Formats: sequence, structure tokens, C-alpha cells
Amino acid sequence: MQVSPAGPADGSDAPHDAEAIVIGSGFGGAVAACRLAQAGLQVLILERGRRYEAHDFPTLPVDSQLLPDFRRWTWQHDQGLWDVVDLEEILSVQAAGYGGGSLIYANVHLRPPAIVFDARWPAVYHDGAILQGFYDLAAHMLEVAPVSAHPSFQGSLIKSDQMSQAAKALGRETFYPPLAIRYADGPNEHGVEQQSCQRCGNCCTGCPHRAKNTLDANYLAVAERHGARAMTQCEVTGITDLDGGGFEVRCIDHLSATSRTLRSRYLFLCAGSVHSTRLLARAHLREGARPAQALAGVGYFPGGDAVGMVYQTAHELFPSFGPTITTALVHWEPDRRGSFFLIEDGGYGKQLERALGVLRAPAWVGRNRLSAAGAARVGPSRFPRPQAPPDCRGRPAGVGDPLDAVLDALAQSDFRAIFTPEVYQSFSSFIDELKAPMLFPAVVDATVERALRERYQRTPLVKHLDPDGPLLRLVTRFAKWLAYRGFGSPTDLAGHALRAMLSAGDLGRAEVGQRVLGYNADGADRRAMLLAMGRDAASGALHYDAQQDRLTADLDLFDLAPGYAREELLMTDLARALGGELRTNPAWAFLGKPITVHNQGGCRMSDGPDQGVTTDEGEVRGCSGLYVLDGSLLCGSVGANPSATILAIAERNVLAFIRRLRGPSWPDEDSSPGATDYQRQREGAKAWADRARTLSWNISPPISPSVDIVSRPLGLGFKEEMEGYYEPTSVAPRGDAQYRRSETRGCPDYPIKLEFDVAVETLAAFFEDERHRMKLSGSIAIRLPSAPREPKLHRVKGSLELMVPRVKPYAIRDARRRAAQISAAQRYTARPGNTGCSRERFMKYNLTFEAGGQYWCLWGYKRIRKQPGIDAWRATSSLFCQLHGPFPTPEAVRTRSTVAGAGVVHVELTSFLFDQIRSMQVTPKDVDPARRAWALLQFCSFFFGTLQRIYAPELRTALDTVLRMPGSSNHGR
Amino acid sequence: MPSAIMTATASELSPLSMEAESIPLPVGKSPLELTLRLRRYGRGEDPSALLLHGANTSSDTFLLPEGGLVRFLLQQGWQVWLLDWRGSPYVIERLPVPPPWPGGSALEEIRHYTVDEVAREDIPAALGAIRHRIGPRAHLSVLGHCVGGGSLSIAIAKGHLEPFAVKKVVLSTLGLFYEVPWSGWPKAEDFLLERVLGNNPDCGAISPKRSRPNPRDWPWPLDMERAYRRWPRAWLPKGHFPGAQMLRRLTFMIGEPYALERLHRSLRGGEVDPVFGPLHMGLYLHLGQMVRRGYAAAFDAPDVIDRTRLSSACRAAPIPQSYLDPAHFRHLQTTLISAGENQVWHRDALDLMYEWLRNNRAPSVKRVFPHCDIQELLWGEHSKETVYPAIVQGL
Repeated sequence: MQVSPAGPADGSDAPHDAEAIVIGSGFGGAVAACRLAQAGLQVLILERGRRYEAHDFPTLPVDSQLLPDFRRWTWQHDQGLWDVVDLEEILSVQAAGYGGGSLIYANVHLRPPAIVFDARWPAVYHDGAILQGFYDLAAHMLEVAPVSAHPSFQGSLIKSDQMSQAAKALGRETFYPPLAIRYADGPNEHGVEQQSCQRCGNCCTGCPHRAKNTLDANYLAVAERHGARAMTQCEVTGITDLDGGGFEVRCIDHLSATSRTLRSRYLFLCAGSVHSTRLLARAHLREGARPAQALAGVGYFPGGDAVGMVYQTAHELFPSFGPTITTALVHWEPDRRGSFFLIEDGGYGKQLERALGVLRAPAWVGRNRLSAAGAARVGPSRFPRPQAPPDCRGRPAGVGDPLDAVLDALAQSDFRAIFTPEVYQSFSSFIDELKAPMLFPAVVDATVERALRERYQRTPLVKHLDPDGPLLRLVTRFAKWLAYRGFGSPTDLAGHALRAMLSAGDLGRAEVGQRVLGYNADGADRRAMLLAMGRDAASGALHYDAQQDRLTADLDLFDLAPGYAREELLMTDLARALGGELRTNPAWAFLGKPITVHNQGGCRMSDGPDQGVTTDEGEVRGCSGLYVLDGSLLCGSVGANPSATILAIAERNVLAFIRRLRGPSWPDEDSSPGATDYQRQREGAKAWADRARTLSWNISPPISPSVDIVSRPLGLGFKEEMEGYYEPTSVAPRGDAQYRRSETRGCPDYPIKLEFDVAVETLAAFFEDERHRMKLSGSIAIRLPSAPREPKLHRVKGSLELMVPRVKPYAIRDARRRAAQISAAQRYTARPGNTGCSRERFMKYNLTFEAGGQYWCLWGYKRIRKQPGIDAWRATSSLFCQLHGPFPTPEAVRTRSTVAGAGVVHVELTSFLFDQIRSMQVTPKDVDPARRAWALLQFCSFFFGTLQRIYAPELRTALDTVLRMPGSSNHGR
Repeated sequence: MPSAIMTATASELSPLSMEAESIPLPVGKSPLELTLRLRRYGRGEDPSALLLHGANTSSDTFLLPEGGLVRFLLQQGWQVWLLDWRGSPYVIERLPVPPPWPGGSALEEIRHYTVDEVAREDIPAALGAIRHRIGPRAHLSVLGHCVGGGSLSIAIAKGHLEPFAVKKVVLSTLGLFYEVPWSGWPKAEDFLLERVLGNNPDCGAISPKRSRPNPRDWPWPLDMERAYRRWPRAWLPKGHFPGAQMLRRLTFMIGEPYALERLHRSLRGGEVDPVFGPLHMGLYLHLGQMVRRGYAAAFDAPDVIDRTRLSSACRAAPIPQSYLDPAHFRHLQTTLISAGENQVWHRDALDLMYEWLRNNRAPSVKRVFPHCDIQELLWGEHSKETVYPAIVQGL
């Protein structure tokens, strides 16, 4: 077959380059290519990545190399192995290479339970029975076998044994999932030379020994044997539907630096969930396919991927010995039907040991999902990063009052006396972070500069000069120079400060450095990696921006969060059983967004034309001859590692296609070598059916009640006291001023005294929930309207929404209104001084109490907004509230239909300082101190950070520019 | 065809005791007439292998250590042909001084000293001479090491090998794709050589050795010397050992070809020095152009920093002079020998070649030696057990 370089773009009578073009060579594409080639079609595989054979995979630089060789690591640089796509809300990681995801996946071939094939799937897939045979076929092709099949397995894989023991200690069972790994030397069944597993742990960075049964060793090898042609480093850029039938594919051949146009009768789109969606969304298809095309991207979901590292385990686990995943345990959620997740032991190659040491540093504790929100959610997350206001642009560090105040407070020696050690700890580490060497000199410099300017501005010499004039600048600079000559430059000061900080606590400097930065391989044997994936994935969508050729994911991260939180809790259990400390999801810390390696959905199958892009056989609706055959077909998360399911669905769909082409009995009456080959493989698959049955490779729901997770999520609580007055009225006040007037009129006849505990059960969920809800319970002393003079005490319960915007962009489902909201925010950022909605936050209280058989509701808000002339404390501490009631039932309270009063209650400054902050504590009590400190820190930086962003926004912007703190990128979003 | 056949005595081949027949091979037209050297080891009826050395080095490359690849092949029942093509110091040091052009300018000479000419003249001449001696039906395969492999693959792509019935070739470290490690980039992108030549039009060759009394072996041109002085010392090999000075200069010129401690133990006393020699500016410039372009193309093709292969904004049409034509590779069995820690060419050079061959369905095998640098393939402590058998398999 001759491929024409840059063939003519017009003239549909040009010959086809192949009968079928398969775009991508991953789990879908390899199956398609293999089966189509066996059926005698002329197949052309277009793969954008490289071929990887033994020793071809990228490795971390060895010491002898002066310049690290980062080639072939990322797709973006040099068409390398890893393709990392930023989808805004999530970071998607996938492989680019001949063999697709199989090059870097962890070999697990798990079949999900029947329960996952629910109503979201087309009818034929319900219960998954139709796929069983195809699972066997895929298992046979990949020659899967659990790690226990390794000849020298017995007792040699310590990490598996330790994991099983840890799970047993928790009352759980682990099992050995079947892996696509070869345990013997020599050619495999498809004639490809392979080696046996050396247990080097490099599965996920590419097997250097060809022991992994990657697709190029089986499916693709068979395809090539039957005449399929593969072109690697050939990136498809566009698809056009030809009038006379068939398709035209435009691609870039990176090897010869040319662009080509190829034609084929059939086209199989198997580029992975993200890229298939992209290619489909931008394809030029016939009119009839438009509705399907418009649906491209709907139903994308990332799977609930989470990762945790356990450090300092009680026993050695040797995580860099053995395949990446060897054992797994399934957790079924007790309350929700059919919801489960898996935790698998992870491993990595020796080359990663040092790098993974970084995560161990306490600096990253809790810098997991807890920190992701922090102050980040102050700006609505989907809004563009606001520009720095013009007045502070260009200045190094405009130090505002809040930071000064905090620094001053810290300088006072009685600071420790006011705060509990925990709060102090969290605060001081917050400040320590600010004192990062990068920032400190700038802060000092700016402070000195300002002080000097203010001082010299008052001197008679420069009093009447332009405040920004050259003379004053000169004088200040000279004074500064003198000051630094006398006291040392800010850099020196920073050095002193750092040294003082590091030598605190009798720790050696080297040790502190190691603790802070953590980059070392010490104790590498006493580590465990835990990988989790769950079924609890929210369905989202991928939006394609045609102008920028960009995809963005639209996910409700909060829907994902409970799943992540549960996975991490079980990881905590395991970490405890292993006797180590857990660090979770570094991606949240570094990037403020989750990472997924299991992109699925986007071109989902459906029965009806308005629900999905493709039919249940993978054909794009309204465009015959165009098929999608990869992970993007999946209609809902299967929970387990999805590769087996993608293979099985591809097998099923491609067989359906071939049977339509070659007759419904193919391959039975076909004696061509390809068909015979297929028949033989189908025969071979039967052995795997038996194995799967006897070794119970299917994940199945538990018969007995499942074991619950022991660890409690990290929470937080504090006490709050408020006092004030209200006035009985049946008219709801309009505006804060009317509330204050009501308070004045109600004083002193109608007092309210509130005392309650505020609690967050799961901090992680609290941050990810854009409503930041907290629970309240306590007492209210109130004199109800029409009640005797003496106030009575009632038990009160309710909720508090902390720092929420007035209008929640996430709640606006209508795209046009949401866009209007966003543009309003942008208008605001363009004109500083305008108090738009994005700079205003509310704390919304909603309390219910029972008095004399009737139910009342106290509903109110604190408004936080920067306004000239308003003192920050008064604004933050005033709760403008309405009293609603009485209602006959607690349910009726939610209507809040009748207003009974209005007023204001306040938090006293002393009560705040001495009681509220002091009472702040982390739950449960037995959490290790590092996590506790970080939980406090996160909460404080969320709370005070939000205040600071509103009252002194220029400070954060200035800080952000000076300080490239890890995680600071969050704050602007 | 050469008329006179000289038989070299054992003493001429010292320290090797293997007997060789040395055949002078005149190529080129007036005014640039070159005499290459073809040496024959082994008996007449054994299968033949032609070995092509790299730039900067002579064919003695294959005689180290202790007889090296040549002895290994002889033991395996091969007869070995070593060609000193025009890149060899053996040829460059015998070039007429001054160059036989009006005004003695080297610029004219450079045009006749490119990899294109090697592929067009030297390799066919040698193969012709060999075929003349072994007959049309005897087995003949070719190995090209480094630039030898580069010119061999150009010769294949242009079909120059077609008349000589070669069935198997081995390309060691270089094929049609040119990728250099990071340290090689600045020089190529800086157009250092072009500058050197612009300021010193009579600079014909550049030698890593300065002390050698050779009329053609000038001290380095000023620009080259300056660039060398400014070159980060950390990128050059350190230490005092025989030939350290040469190795440092060589490392600056082409990248670190070997690390002394990784060589065969018999080669650590400066034994490899005589193998290296000057690099002709014609070859040097042409290689630089190809490095910038990323793949093989004729000399003097439009020379821009394009790196089109890496950018996604590719041109619509291929570059006309590109040698990326797979037709002739389809009739050959190509074996690629790749050094994982190659510091002269990046190993991608061969990986891309392999992908290109596979994509175009040319029979090919790739063997990677992950912890070898380029000369370690031939001169390493364990080459005899690892690399040589792989080469023999490919021949």
C-alpha cells in the first residue's frame, strides 16, 4: 500500500489509502486494528506517539549526566510518553505511544460487577452479561495472571504480604488481581519475544524488560502480522467526511515533518477519551451527524483516582520491588447501593525513590485536598484570574495592614499566652511560610521604604515636594542604604531568620532541611503507595472551544469529593495498620486540582439519539462508517481499572462491525488465516473463562455486611457566642441599615443571646463544597414576641454557610446567565473600587429551635465587603438576622414564610479572641499533631485569607507576585 | 579500479598481528583526487563485511581493543574489509597543501567533502572494489558506525547500494535522523562553524590535537578557540590522563565520545589517541546542517533553524532534498545498534530511524545497549560479549 504524501485535498474519486484507518493504538485502537486485520481489511493505524521497546522508555537522569535528558517524557516536548492535558478543573494524564495506555498502566485486568452496567448503559449491556465472553478473549490475548503465578512468588513479595496483613488487621480481605504480565522468558503466544518480569517496579513508567504484556506485544503484533500498517508519530489533526463515502484524515507526520491527507472507507476513532472527543467535536461531518457531534463531550467522567503514600511504616515493604499493583481490596459502601472503590498497593521503580521523598515532608501534610480550597474558593472558581489592580501594579510588595498586624502580634511575647498551642502552631507555620526567603526581603524592603518615606515626608526639607518626586526617592534610598549598612540587608535578615527558625527545637540544620524539603530516598524501603479508584464519579462534560482548539472539563468537583474523602479515609486506616503516616494526593497541593489517569466517557453509547454520540455498537449516529471504540464509549464508571472493560467493549463492537461486513457467522465459515487465527484465540479464551470463575476475578458485592471504615474524617469545631437585640415586626427589613434600626428599637426589650458549637465533620468536603457548610448546635436565650419579659433558653440547631458569594455561579445552570455573571466579575476587576459581587462574601446562619411546641427559625447573614469608612471588625461581627415563626412542624420552618422579627447580633471582640479562637480544635482528637496543625492552618488561612482578600485585595496580588509559594497559584483562581 | 595491490606486512599493522591486504582506492575528479584505503582481513571465500568508521576517526577504530571487532569477526568466520573513507585522518592528512583551487581556498574543497559525496563516491567505490574481488554472489554486508552509518544510510536511500547486492546492513548510532544531546545544541544553533569559516576561509579541517606536526593541522581558528574557552568547563571531561587534552577538545567539537574509565582496560593508557584525527570542515558543516534540520538532507539545502519535525506546524510539502526515501530500505535487513548514553548523537537519532523504518515496513531490528556511550559500543570492557554478537547477528 502506498501512502501518498500530501495528496490532493479535493476530488473524492482519489483511491483510498486503506479500507479502515484506526486512529490511536490504545486499548480500543489495538483491538480494532487486530480484528479488522484478521477479517481481511486493509488497516492503517495512525499513532501520534512513538514505538517503545525494551530500554526505550524515558528514565530519570543518572548522576553522570550533567544535563538531565528530559526527552521523550512528555508529549508536549518531543512527542514523549506522557500527555498531560490541563482540562481546567482536572488534569488528565494519558500515554502517547504505540500501545497507548497499556504502556503505562498498572497491568490490572479486573472485571467490574454486573451492578455497574446500570440504566445509564444501552439496554444490551445491562448486567454486563454480553461482555463476559469478550472479557475472556481480552484476558487470553493479554495472557493475564495474578502475581501469585510468578514462579518465585512464594513469600518474595513483601509488599503484598504486608498489605494483606494490614487489611486483615482491619477485618478486610485482599486478593491478587489478574495482571497482564509475563512470568516466563521467550516468545509469547503471538510470537513476540518477551522477558519474564524482573520485578523492577517500573510498570507505570514503561517496562524496560518487555515483561509487561503491552498491546504492541499482542493485539498490535497480530494486527501487523495480518497486514495492518502502523504509522507512528503521526498525529491526526482533522477528519472530513467525504461525499462519496469514506473519510479523509489530515495528519502531521512528525518524523518527516510533513502533513498528509489519508483516505479510507471506514474510520475508527480510538484516540482516548479526551482526544477522541476533541477530534469528533472538530470533525467536518455530514449534516446528519450534527446532533451527535453536538453531544460530544457529554458524559465525560474522570473516575475517582486518588493516590496516597505511607511513610515510615512499621515494617519494610520494599515498594520498588515487584509489579506496580499486586494486591487489591474492595470496599463496598454500606449505605449506598452498588457504590464501591478499590484500594490497590502501588509500586514504583528505584529511579523514583528520591523524587517521592518530597511528599513526605511535613510541608505537604494536609496540603492535599484540604488546602486546595483554602482561600481559593473566594473567587468563583470558574472565573478568570483577576488582574492586579492598577494602583499596586509594579510595586514590589504593597504591605497592607492585616499582615503588619499579624507580624506585630507575633513579635509580642505574650502572643503564646493568648492562643492555644495548636492555634499558635498553625498560625506560626502560616507565618513561617510567609517568611519564605523569597518573600522576606521584599517585605522588609517595602516596610522600611514606607516607613522612611512617611518619616521624610514630614521633614521640612521635602514636605512641599512631590511625594513621588526624585528628591524624596533619592533621600529614601540613601537612608535605606545607610540602614542596611548598619543592620544588614533584608537578605541577611532573611538568612538570620531562617537560621533561627531552622535551629529551633534542637534539630540539626541538615535534618530540618530534609524535613522541610524531604527530597531523599531515606527509608525508601519503609514506604507504601496506595492507589484508589472508585465508582463514585460524577458525570461531567468536556467543552470544546473551537477557536482555541482547547478542551475544558466541566465537573462538579463537590460530587467527586465525598468519594475522594472516603478513599482517603480507608487509606488512613491502612496507613495505621501499616504503622506509618499517610500523605495524600499531592496534585491538590501543587496544582489545586485533581489528576485523573482514567479519562472515560465523552462519546458515550446510548439507545436513543438524544442521549449519546454513538449507538450501542460504537457507530457515530448519522455518520455511517465512523466508529468510536475506546474509553470514551463508557457510559458510567465501572469502578475497577477500566482497561479490561474498554477491551471487552471494543472486542464486542468490532466483531459486530465485522459481522455486518462479512456475514453474521464470521469467523465460522471463513478459512482465511485471519479468521482461523481469531477462531483459535476464541478457543483459547475458554480457559480464561474457567480461570476467572474459579479464581473469582469478578468483583462482586459482598454477601455479609461490609466492614466500615475506622478512621474518622478530619474535622474542626469551635464555640461562638453572640449577643444582640431584635424588634418584633412582620416586615422583612431591606438593607443592613434597616436591620440596625430594628436592633436599636428592640433594645433592651428583646434580647437574643446565642451560644453554640460550630462543627465541620469533614474539612475536605467543607472546602470542596462551594457553600462551605458547617453545623451549629447550642442554645439560644430569647424573649419571643408575645412572650413574657424574661428570656428563655432553648436548644438550637442549624447550619452556617461560611464565606459564600451572594450569587453562586455554580448554581446558575443557564449558560447565558452564568456568562453574564462572569462578565460582571470581569467588569469589577477592571475598575477597582467597584464593589461587585465577587468581592463580597456572606456568612449565612440558619438556626431552628423549638419553643413551647412551636418551631422558630433565626435566619441571618454577616456581610463581608470592603467599603470605605466601615471598620472591618464591625462588619465581620454583625449578624443581621430575621426571626421566622411560629411554625407547627420542623419541616415547615424551611419555608421561612412568616417574619416575626428582625435585628442584629454581634460577636464581641474579646469573646472572639479569648473564647472563640481558643476553643478551635480539630476532631477527632487522636489525629497526629502534624495533621492537626495543618487542619487548623488550612481553616485559618481559608477564613482569614478570605477576609484579607476582601479587605486588602492588593496585598494578596502583591504577595502572589513576590511569592511563588507552592499552592499560591490557587489563590487567584 | 586500483591496479596496484600492496600487501601490508605485520609490522605496518602493529600492534595487531593480523595480516591485511591494503588496497588504495582513488576517488574523485580533478582537482580533488583522493586516495582512500581499503584493507582486507581474512580469507577469500568467507562472507564479507565492510566496516565504515565514523568521522574524526580512522578505520583502526575497529581494531581496538586487542583486534577488536575485526578479530571477533575473523574468529566467527568472516572476512573483514575496512575502508578509510574521506573522513579518515588517513585521507585528510594526505590532502594536497594548499588546496588545489585558485587562491588555495578551502571553500571549494568543502563542497566536495560532504556526507553526500561520501555516500555517492566512497561507499560505492569500496563496494565495487570488494565485489570485484569476492565475486557477485558472495555474501556482503555493511556496517556503518556513527557518521559512517549516516553516510551509509544516505547511500542506501539514494540507491547507491543497489548494484552491489548487499542484503544486510548494520547502522550503529546514526541513520537518517540527526539528534544531538543538549550540549550539542548551542554550537549548531549558534552557527559556530559558519562563523569560523566566514572569518577563516582557508580553514579546511579542525583537529582535536594541537601538537601534531602536520602541515594541514592548523591551530584552531580564533572563533573556535574563543568558543572553546567560553564553553562550560563542567561539560568537558575532567582529569589528567593520556589524551585528556584531546578528549576535552573532541568533546567540545562533537560531544564526549568516550569516558576513559568505561573503556576496555587495555585502552586506558592513551592507546585510542592515534585513532582520532582532524574533522574536515565539509563534513562538519554538513553534519551541523543536518542537526539543525533533524534529518538527512543534501548539503547546502536551505539552511534555517526550522526543526519542523518537532513543531506541529509542519509544512505542506517535504523538503525537496530530504533523503527520507524508504524505497531501498525495504529490500534490506537493517539492524540498528543504539547506545543509550550516547553523548555524541542522542539515542533518539536511531530511535527515530527505527520508527521510520517500521512505519515504512522496512525490515529492521533495533538493539539498545542502555548504559553505553558511543565508543564504548566498540571499545567497552564487555563489548565482546554484548555488542559484537549483536553486530554479527545483523551482518
